[in-house]
Amino acid sequence: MHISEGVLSAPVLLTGAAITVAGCAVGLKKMDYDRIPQVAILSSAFFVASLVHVPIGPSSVHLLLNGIIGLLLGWAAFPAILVALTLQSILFQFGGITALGVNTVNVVVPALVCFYMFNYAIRRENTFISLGSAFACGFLAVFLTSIMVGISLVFTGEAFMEVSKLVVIAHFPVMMIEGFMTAFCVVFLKKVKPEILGVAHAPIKSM
Amino acid sequence: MHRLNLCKKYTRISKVIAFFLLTVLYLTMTAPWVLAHKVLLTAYVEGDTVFVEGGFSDGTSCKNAGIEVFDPSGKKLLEGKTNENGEFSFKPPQKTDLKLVLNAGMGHRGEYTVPADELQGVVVSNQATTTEAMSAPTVETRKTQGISEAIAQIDLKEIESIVDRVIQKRLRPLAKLVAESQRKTGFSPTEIFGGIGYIFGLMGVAMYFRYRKGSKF
Repeated sequence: MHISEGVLSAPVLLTGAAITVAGCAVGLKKMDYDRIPQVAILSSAFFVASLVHVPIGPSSVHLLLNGIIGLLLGWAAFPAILVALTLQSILFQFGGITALGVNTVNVVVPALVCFYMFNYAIRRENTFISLGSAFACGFLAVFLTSIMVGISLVFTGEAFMEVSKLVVIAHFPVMMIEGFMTAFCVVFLKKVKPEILGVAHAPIKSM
Repeated sequence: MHRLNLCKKYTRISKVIAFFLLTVLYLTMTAPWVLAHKVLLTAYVEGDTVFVEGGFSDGTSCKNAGIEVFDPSGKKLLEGKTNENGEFSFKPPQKTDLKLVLNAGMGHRGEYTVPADELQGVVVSNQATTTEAMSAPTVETRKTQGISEAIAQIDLKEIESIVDRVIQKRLRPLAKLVAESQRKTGFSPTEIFGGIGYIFGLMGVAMYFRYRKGSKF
C-alpha cells in the first residue's frame, strides 16, 4: 500500500495531494475535540499495523486496518492516516513524502466508502447482520484499497487489469484477516464499549 | 460533571484500544514475519561485473523483479530481471555513474547508484575477452621459454588485474554481508515507539489548544 517515491507521475501525485488536503480539512472540521484521543490511538494502531507483514509471492503485504479505522473515525480517518503515513515514510522509508497524498487517498477513501456502507448495519442489534457487515467492512476496505493502488499505477504504464489482479490476489489473505479482525473488534466493542460505535447514542432496533 | 463523565469514558475507551494496540505491537515484536515494506537495492562490483541484490528490508529477496540501469543523463543502458534469490548481474557498458532502479511491482521501487570510481576495475565490456586472449599466449610462452622470461612478459597491468581479481574474490562475502546489513536498517523498536510517541505528542498539542480555548470561555 506504500507506493514508493518516483513511481507515479506528477498529475497523479498532485491529485492525491489535493484530495488529501481537502479530506483532512473536512476530517478536522468534523472531528469532535473529545475524540482526539481516539483518533490518536487509531492512528498509532495503523502506524504499527503496517509493520505486521505477511510474505506472499514476490512481495509481502501488511495489515491495513482501514476498515475498522474508517468505521470508528469516519472522516477523521483522513488526518489520522495522514499522520501515521507521514511518520512511516520518515522513520521507515515506507512509501515516499511525495507519494504521501496518493497513499493516504488509497487507504482512506475505501475506509470512508465502507463507513457509509456499513455504518448502520453494524450498529444494529442483530448479531448476525452486525457481524456479517463488520466482516464485509474489513474485507471490502482492503479490496478497494487494492483496486485504488491499481488505478494509481495505471498512469505509470502498468496495465490496470494485470496490476489490480496481482494486488488483489496478494492482498486476499489480508482481506480475510482484516475481515475477521474487524468482526472481532465490533463484537468486542459492542459488548464492552457500545458507545464507541454510537450504539448507545442512536440505537437502531432490528427486532 | 459532564466533563468528568466524558473524561472517565475516554480513559476507559483508551484503555480498550491501548490493549488492542499493545497486542498488535506484541505481534510485531515477536512474529517471525516482522518486515518492513521497503525495497532495498544494493550492488557491488567484482571484476568487470556489477552484482545487484534486491530485497525487502526484512531480508527476503525481490524475486523476478525488473531492473533497469541508467546512465547519469537518464538514458536507459540495459534492463533485466532478478533471479530467484533477488540477484542480478551485468557487465557495465560504460564507466560512468550507474543508476540502478528496481521495480518490485505494486508500486514498490528501489534505487541504488554505483559511483564511477567503483568501476575502476571494470574494463569496457568487450575487453573481458581480450584479457583472456592475451593470457593464453602468456601461458604458452611460459611453457616454451624460461620462467624468468615469462615473468618479464607479464606486464604491470596484468599483475594489477590479477591482484584486483583475487582481492575482489576474497572480499565478496564481506561485500555481501555489508549489503545485507544495509538492507536490514531502517526498522527498529526505537523507531516504532518513536512514531507512536509522535502521534501521542500531536494528540497532546491538539488537546492543549482545546483546553486553552475552553478555559477562555
